[in-house]
Amino acid sequence: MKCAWAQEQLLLYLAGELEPQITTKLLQHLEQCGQCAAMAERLAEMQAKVEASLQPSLQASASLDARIMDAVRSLPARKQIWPELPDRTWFRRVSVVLTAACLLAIGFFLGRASTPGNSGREGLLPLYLTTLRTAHQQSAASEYGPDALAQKLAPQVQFAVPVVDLQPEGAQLAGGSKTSLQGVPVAHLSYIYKGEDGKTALVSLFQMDGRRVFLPALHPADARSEHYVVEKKDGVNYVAWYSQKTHTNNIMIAQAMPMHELFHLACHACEKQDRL
Amino acid sequence: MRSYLPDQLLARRAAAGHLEDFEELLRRYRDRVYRICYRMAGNAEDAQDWTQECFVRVYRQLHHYDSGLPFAPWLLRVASNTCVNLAKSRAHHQSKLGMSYEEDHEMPSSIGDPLRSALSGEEARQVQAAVAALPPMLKQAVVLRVVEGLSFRELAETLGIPLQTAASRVRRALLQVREQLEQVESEVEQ
Repeated sequence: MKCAWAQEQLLLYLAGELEPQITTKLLQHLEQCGQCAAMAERLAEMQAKVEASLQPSLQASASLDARIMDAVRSLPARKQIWPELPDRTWFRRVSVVLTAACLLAIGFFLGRASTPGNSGREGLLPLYLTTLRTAHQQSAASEYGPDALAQKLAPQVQFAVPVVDLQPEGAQLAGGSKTSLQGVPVAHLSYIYKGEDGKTALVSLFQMDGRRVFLPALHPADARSEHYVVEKKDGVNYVAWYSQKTHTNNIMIAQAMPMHELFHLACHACEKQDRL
Repeated sequence: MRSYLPDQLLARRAAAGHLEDFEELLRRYRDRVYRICYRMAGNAEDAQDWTQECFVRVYRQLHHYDSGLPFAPWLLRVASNTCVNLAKSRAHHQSKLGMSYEEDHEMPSSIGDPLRSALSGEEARQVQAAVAALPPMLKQAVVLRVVEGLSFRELAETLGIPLQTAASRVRRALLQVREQLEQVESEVEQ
């Protein structure tokens, strides 16, 4: 055993934080090595001296509180993008990205959705948006409940569709259907949402198989931390996210619905997908 | 009114803009942060400024805090890292201006502590001066370990470094303090 190694362990040993096996080896070494034993003694002595010299129970003056709070109050207010959300476990994972780049990112995602290459991505964006909007405007009526609808849709879109029940959040499942973006199957779930103001809105949740469709809209790092991409375009609100549990790419779309309510709904949907 | 909510919940509420919850966290941790600042800054005046700066940083970074983890290690990390940065900044300015700063070296109460009683006032002042002269990273480790009484595991967790690195920093700090004391002693003898 080398002295350098032994001396690295000494303080942990003195503090009683060394693993028993390593302690045994260290003690064997200390019995044979006067230099390391002397170092242990020096460290113990210095530690005690420093403790004795530094430990007085200093207290800050009470007036410091007011001064600190004044400094905190004078900070620029943190921008409140959304009204405060309920205290839920998922909220701490949520990071909202609200930049113009989001739309480009969604466009990038949509552009990559069915094309091996990136050619014509910019040209595809309006086409995809139109397709999704058109699908969104078509009500997908169904008498099935969430589980039955998931079973019905899975063979059509060739992936397990996580159909979540959002009724407790005020969104009644209206139906589901298959749509596609240039040949790539997309599951379309329709919800009728009754808002805080009593008005109803049609909400569409489009889901794609994340293992087959690359999702550049949500950068891999963002996808791991479950970021949401939020955007408003031509009166239509979008929230996009990647569900790690179900490996699906999701875009929730609504018209005539406040963004914060759509975002709430999307967060609930993501949370429930994680529980499936 | 005093709150009995757990730190994590207060931190989340404070991050959402509830200043009264931040004020409660301030009340709970003010003295601990002040002690670190005092030891890192070396004098009471700077310690007050540094404490303020620490809490302002804590408030600004609350949205990065993961409320699934204990709050105290996170707060101590932010505070002690702030002190390290302030110490470096101060050293940089002072070296440019050719200045040095005055340090307070108060004597602790010796009641009920035989070792403290045994340490002469002069020796204690020398130890404090030697600690104050440590490089900021070593001072941060020894202050958290000794002043805040963190175990080495807690120290490693607070600083976000491996256990052996935490122990190594404290060891180097203690040996440097000892070296400094020996130097003073030899000067006195001469």
